[in-house]
Amino acid sequence: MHEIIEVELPSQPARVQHGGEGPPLVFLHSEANTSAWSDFHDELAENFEVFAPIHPGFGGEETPDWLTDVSDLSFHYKDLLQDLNLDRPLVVGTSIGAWIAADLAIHFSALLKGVLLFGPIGLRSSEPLPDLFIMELPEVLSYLANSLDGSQVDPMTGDAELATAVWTDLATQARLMWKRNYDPRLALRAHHAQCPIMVAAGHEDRLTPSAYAKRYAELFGASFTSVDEAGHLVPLDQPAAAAALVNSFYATLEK
Amino acid sequence: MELYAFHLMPYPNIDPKVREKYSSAWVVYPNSEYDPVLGQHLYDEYLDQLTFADQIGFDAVVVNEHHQNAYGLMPSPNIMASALIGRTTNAKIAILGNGIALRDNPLRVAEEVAMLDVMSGGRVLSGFVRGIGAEYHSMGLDPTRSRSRFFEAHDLIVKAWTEPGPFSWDGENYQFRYVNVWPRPLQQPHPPIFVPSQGSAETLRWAAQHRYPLACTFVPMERLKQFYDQYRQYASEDFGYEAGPEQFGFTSIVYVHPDGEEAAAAELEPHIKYFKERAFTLPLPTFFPPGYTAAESYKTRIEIARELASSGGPTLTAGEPLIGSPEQVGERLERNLAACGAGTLMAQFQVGDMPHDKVMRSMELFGSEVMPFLSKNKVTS
Repeated sequence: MHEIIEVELPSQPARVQHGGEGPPLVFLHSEANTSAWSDFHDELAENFEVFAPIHPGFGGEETPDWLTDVSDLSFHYKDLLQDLNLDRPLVVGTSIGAWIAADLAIHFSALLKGVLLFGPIGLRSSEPLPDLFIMELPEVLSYLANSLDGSQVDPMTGDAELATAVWTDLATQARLMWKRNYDPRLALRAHHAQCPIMVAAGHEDRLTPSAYAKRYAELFGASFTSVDEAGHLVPLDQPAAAAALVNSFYATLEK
Repeated sequence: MELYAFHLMPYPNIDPKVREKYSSAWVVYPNSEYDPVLGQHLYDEYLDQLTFADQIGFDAVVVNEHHQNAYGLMPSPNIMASALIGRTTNAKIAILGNGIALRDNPLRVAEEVAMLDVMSGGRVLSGFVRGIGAEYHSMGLDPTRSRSRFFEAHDLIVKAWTEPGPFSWDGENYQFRYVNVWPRPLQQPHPPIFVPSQGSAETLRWAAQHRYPLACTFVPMERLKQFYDQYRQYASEDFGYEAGPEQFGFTSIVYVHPDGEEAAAAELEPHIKYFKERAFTLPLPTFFPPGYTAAESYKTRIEIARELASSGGPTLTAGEPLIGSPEQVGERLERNLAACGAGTLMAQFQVGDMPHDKVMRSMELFGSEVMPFLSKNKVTS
């Protein structure tokens, strides 16, 4: 159904999951060991040629020294788009991946057809958001999605390998958002994102309140949709509904 | 053999009804539970205990750094060291250690330790620590940078102590146009540096390379032997020297009682229980936040956490318990040091909520009966 391609980039080699046919779509994954090809990818691959890279420092990789903030990843992915010769792809991101997609749009919107952000983070919140870094790992997963099984990653009783995989992803996330779980420049620069943008948030999101996602949409001049029976990671909780949103958003861009 | 008196300066009034609402006495346990009037009294007693250790012949008194918790009331070990300089005459002041990676300006540590060294007439031992994971929560510092900051802060402080200033420093984590620390330390080339370790291969090798003594806290004997053997192996194979016992020290709870082990253990037990259950408990994400170690080390931590859960918590005594009559404690102390080839015992007399009079009685017995026993053997050995 999909293959892994390796791409040499100035920052570091990228591992990209690749499958499907159609217009190009880049999917930027979420945190806590959720980068693998999933039902959502399969849904996307029915209508798009899907490129789903693994972020540097995620998917079992140690945090790279060169990585300091989310913009480092935007430039990493700009290099990837160019190396793959992707002509104005649709970019879809979820959670930390949505933050990267938003930042990519701020810097390089001319290279993108449109951006769909599922449960984006990275914006300053008036109330502190839950601290994923001090939670037990099962609790982390419960804040992210309804469909993830927290008991598997309990270090004391679950699978030590799986627990370590979630913890290693959180480590790179710590590098990006331990001190501040937002980028103060995001709000100041949102108007530079000139391509069409849509924000979608799970109706049962426990990580960010709906006002937060709406504020995100407002700053980026984006439309906003709420997805029923979904937590923070909408594509994991509702793969079919999330893919349908991608399709309908893409249809509006073709007009 | 060197004997150090080790202290955590714990808060002894952790209310179990409040404590049970929180996962730990660290980071999130509210400071409204701290009573500063009691706090003043505690500092007086704890400093009296360490001062007494100097009077009965301990080679050093030990202070340390932990933040935002009821486990130890010394966020600034240098302030305690300063208080001890005026109260003690012979003992070294062992700061084990300053959390150098926790400072945005490590030169502040270079300055303060140099001041303490000058003020004390060269009695300072300077430990450097990375700080346990909890400190990164409390200080708002990215744990993924902790190793890099620790090594760089160390290099910077040692250079500031040993090379003429001003010089400039342009590192990964710290940048200074002018490094020119006044005063300079009295001891040359600098106060002896100690390194506490939880046994990661990287730290052991680095300590062996610099010949820094290891000071291990609450590590069971089997693991101590592994750590020390590993260190000795690095020393001889990679750095061409034989590491002696003076390079190894570890903590142990000590409780001396005239009626022997059973009576001692019975008196000690509630304080151990308080310490383990109310003060020491650290949930894994607090102790080892994401990025604090490499993934492989995290897997080892999971194994250790599972071992501890099945064995009833951390080991507070490495080897035979130093709990009992003066003779029992003296003999076991010697055997424990010999068992792992260590030269320094860091004795912790005060535990958890143990009251002052109990601590002092145990210390007095240690001074009057264990010390002479040990020095007699020192002469004959």
